[in-house]
Amino acid sequence: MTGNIIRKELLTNITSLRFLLALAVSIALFVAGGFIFVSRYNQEMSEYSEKTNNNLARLNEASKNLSEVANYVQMIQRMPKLTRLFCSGFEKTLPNTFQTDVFKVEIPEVNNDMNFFISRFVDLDWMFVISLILSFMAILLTFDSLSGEKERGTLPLALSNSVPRDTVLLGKYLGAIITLAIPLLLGLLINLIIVNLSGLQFDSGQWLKIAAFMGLSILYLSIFLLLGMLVSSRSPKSSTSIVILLFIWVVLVILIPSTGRLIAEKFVRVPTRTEVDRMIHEAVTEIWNNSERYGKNAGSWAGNNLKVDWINPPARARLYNAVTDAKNRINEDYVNKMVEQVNLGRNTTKISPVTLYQTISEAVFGIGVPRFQSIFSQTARYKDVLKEFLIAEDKKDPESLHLLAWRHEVIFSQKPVDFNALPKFAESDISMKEAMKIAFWDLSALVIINILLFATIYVSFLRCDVRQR
Amino acid sequence: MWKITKKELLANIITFRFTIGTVLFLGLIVLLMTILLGDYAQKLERYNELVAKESEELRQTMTYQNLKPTIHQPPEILSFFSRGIEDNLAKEADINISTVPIPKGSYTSTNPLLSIFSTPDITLIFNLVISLLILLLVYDAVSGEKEEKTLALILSNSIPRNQVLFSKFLGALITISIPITLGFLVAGLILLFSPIISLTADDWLRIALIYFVSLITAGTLCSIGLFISSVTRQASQTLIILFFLWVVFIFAVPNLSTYLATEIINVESRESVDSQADELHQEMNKKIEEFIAQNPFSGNQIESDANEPHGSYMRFATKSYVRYGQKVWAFAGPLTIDYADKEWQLRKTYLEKLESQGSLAELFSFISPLSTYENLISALSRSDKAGSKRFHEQAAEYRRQLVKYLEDKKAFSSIRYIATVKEEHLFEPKDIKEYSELREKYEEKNPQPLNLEDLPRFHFSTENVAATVKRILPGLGLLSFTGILFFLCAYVAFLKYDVR
Repeated sequence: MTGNIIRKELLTNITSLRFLLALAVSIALFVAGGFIFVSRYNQEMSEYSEKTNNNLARLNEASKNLSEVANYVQMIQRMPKLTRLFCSGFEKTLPNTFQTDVFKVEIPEVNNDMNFFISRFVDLDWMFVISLILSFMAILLTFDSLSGEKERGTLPLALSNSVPRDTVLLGKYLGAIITLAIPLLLGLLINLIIVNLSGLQFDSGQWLKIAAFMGLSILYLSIFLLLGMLVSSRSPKSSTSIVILLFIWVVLVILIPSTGRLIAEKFVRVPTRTEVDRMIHEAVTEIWNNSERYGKNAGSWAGNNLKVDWINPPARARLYNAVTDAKNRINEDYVNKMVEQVNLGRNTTKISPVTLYQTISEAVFGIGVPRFQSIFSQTARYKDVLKEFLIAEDKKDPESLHLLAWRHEVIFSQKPVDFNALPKFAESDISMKEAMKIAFWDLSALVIINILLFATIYVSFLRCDVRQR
Repeated sequence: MWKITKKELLANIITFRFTIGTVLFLGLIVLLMTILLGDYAQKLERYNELVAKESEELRQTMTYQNLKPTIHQPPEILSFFSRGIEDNLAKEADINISTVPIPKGSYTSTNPLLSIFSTPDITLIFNLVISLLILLLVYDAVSGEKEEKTLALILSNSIPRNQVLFSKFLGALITISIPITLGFLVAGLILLFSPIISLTADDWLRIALIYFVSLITAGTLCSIGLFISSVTRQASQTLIILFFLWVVFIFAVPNLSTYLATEIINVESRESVDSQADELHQEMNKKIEEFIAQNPFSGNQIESDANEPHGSYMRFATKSYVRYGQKVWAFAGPLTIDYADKEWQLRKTYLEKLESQGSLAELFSFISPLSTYENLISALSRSDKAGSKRFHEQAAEYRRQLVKYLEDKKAFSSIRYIATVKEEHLFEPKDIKEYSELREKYEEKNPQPLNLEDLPRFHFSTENVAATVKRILPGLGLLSFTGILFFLCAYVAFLKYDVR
């Protein structure tokens, strides 16, 4: 029985004008998005490898001298991801250059070619099409699913047969979900062809993520289908239900997410870069003013001349390590503050399913703000690994003073080092387990909203007066 | 004809969709205004803090070489109506002799992660709520009445079809102007009675113009709706088509027009411009090094450094060393200004490219009346390209004033460029004993800051409304023209409409 109803619903849906128009619009956007993405991706990938190779070449040059390796500021680039086709995580405007030597990790920089004269525009990724366009379509698909049948008088007719109400409801719901899955699957197919034609390929890990994303998208869209059915079952006329649904959609999908920035800026104060520079300046001045704290004559230096008796290299090294530690601490605090601010904005707007959908997708694909945070901490770890390696190498050099301090090359080994043995930065993806940890509550919330909505509709429909008024 | 208009108006107003739309619109306006007011208050406080701190620092500036004021742009009240590209650009500029201030991305000073959020403004609410409300008002104007068979009934009287159509248009426009007017009244009252905000006559005039443009946009949307309604046979069909048109107008057009513009106009990467600027700097440094090599320093280099926010200065130094510094800076100061201009030429070309890309994107987005509306309102709210650029133009002008000030003071060749020590305290010690004696005597424990009373101060002045209106006239004309065109099309379609 349920099968019959699903089939009937599906057929009416896909022969309707709204379905065809939605299909046309979403497929057009998927295709446009796919082509735009592929061309940008290739360009970004070549820029990325150029910059990365450049960095390695300079590291290679520095490897002639161990202390130069220590002082060489590496420019670590964020690698463009192929799965950005599905969820860009707004990476276009996030910091993408991470700089570190073995002493300190700098504040990540935004190095992109965004034109600030063009008002903010979003990527045409799947996230965009699904969260805005397909959710809109979900509402258009269901706003008259019950009230419309009531108006036409077909609902009492259907129920006068021996069909239980819950079967009708389930049939309608599943029919609508399958209808929405059509543009999704068709779009996926087309995008795969576009991606394949340009010589790119997803690996098996990425396939898993794409599958998870597809399931997530259905879960997200189902909220709007259920909302549509709920309002439709409660309102006497379909013209009333469309008005109510449109306003719910506007508020949930557009207005609530857009308050994120205002809320974040209101409750978390992040210092400006000028203020951070000032803080560093003050901290460093404080250290210098108390330089004797690090040992006698820590503040004195004689260039590369180690023979002078009024300098004290160990004290000097301690002083400079204090300086770089202070910088590190301030930079790290700043980055943490940045993340805290943006997360506050995100968390407060999670009343909207769009934000939930976004945060979960970002966790699944390991992209966006979580990835920024992850690369930043990976850079810090890499710094420590490299430092340990250099210290171990330095131990082999009998001429070295075995003191490692920023911009004090002479007190550390000057011997060359094997470039191939040097640890290099390699970004490790956010694993599925970590992703689950980030997104567990959001995912639960999304599931619970679905269940609650379905239960409400069920009760509401059971008590609903199906007669035409 | 008025009767029909009146009938349309009343029929519209009593509908449930109209009531709930109006209530929601007003509710959203009040909510948004409250949030934005809080945001504005915070930004204003922050701005005042920064300005106060800056003028305090300026008061304590010791030497001309460290006279590097930072200027700040006051927060824009009218950005309540449209944020435009406000959030994209940095709101501060460093003024010094070595670079001409240029527009910079906001990520250079504020949290770049916030770029994942868009920001709400009144235009957003208008674009979403009012335009949807208009669709819901007009979609069944013709096709709906046909279905209900009342259209044939009306036309059987001796009323010409054009009057029927025009009355429907007028009815819808007057209906929709009720929530628009109420919304603006509420917003205006909130602005009027808020203690932290004081609007000038120019601002009020702009708000009035924003209201006016909103009405014109509403009219255009009404006529598009009427047109679709008179070419379709069923009201439900009309509604669906209008919805998809709406989606295209509001989401697809702005995104695709931006993409097209960036594809058509190629701009070299910022990094390559930066590296070219770097080369210029290296060239300049080489010239300074050459000068130093040709004029080596001989004498006693004895100095005592002190820190101030933008660098260090000498509280005490030997005569020969100060004289040498004066000589070097008399050469390097003007050279720095020269190279700043060269760098500016380089960056100007880049910025012009970016701007033309922006203009092209704007041009493409004229396809959608909703994007057009957004562009017009952000121009009126001073948050569009021209408005946001203005701060940096004035910053560049202020830098010229600073350069002129320094030149007038002959600052580069004066002692006060590098040191606070007085002319009569310059000396040349013969031995270490005399040095410590004289140092004790002449080193300034509490050096006097520069007297900067005659230094011009920065005042940000906004564009006057007449100039803005002149800029938006083409867009406004296009919007009105689109409205009239669609009305005429609707007219032609309606004349041929089979009302049975």
